[in-house]
Amino acid sequence: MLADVKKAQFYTMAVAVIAIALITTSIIIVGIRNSVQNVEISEDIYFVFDNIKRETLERIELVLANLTQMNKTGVTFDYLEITKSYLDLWISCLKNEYESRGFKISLNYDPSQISYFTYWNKSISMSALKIIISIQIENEDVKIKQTVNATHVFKLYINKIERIGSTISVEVNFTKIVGNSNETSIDYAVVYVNDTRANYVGGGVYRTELVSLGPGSITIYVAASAPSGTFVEACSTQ
Amino acid sequence: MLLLKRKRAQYYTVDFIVASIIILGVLSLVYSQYYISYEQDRTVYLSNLGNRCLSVLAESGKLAEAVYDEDWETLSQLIDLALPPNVYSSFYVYRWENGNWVKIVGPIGEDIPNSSTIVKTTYVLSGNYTDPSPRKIELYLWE
Repeated sequence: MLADVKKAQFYTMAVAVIAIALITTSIIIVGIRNSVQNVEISEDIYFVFDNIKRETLERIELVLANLTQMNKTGVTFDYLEITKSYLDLWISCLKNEYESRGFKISLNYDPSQISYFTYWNKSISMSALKIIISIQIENEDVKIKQTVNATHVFKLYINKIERIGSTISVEVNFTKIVGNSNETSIDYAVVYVNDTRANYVGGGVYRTELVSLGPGSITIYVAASAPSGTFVEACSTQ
Repeated sequence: MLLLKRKRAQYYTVDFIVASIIILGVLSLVYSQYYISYEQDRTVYLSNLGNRCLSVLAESGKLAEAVYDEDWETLSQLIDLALPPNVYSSFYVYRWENGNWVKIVGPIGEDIPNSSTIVKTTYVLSGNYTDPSPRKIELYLWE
């Protein structure tokens, strides 16, 4: 009987010792892990590729905005040299950023295939920059390569002007085309018609109503702005 | 009789020690594996959150707008809105200048803790019309 009690005490003690040891070990492991600041760097190659592609397209929009603005102000310039300098700076920045973190980056374009043209008449403003860029990124496991049609076209035109009583209704179309995709309208573009901000009604169409100052002709002046700048302007006299 | 009892006691002691070592070893192994897996899951979760947050803001144009306007309060609010309430963040912004990144601002947001798992995600902006110099945003996230 006494032997059984002692055996039971022994097993109880054994369980208690194991439990205490386990809890102590857990506390030590958690304590050691939590006392260290562990900064993990997120290096998802697909995320990096998407960023580079998106921002390269934005960079070309920026180049087009600058070329258009210089064109509008009548400055003489070499569009090819300007485009190349903007792109080369961007490429060197990307290489510096990502190659130091183990990625191999390659962005190539053929300067002989770069073209820029504008078309401005009475009520249409259009400018386009055509570039084909090959983007390649790789790490130890994955290699992603894509040839991107980075052609940008911006087109702003006055679609309709209607005089109804003392109000003039103006409808403007602002279209952005990037590469092969037809991205009609930029949701964060701002369109002004004679200094009045137009409302976006969808499908690249902006509309506003102006107050008519009486009979006679009126000049409608339209400007579209995106984050990259005011780059297209159209003007019409009715 | 006494000798037999002593031997049995020794046998129990050795048995207890060996059993303890085996149990502790197995439990420690299971625990550490579980902990590493949990930690990796949280790291991936935070990385995805950070990547998605920066991508969404970049796609909407809000990231470029806030960074080039140097409107850090708005940027901080936008990041907070894009993250769950239990995730804390802090960010730095750099400008590309003469082949190097030069810090403009940071850290902005919560104080980065000294002891925790922190995930860093970055996004490089290509420039805007008035300032064609690229910018880099480093976003730090932790729970």
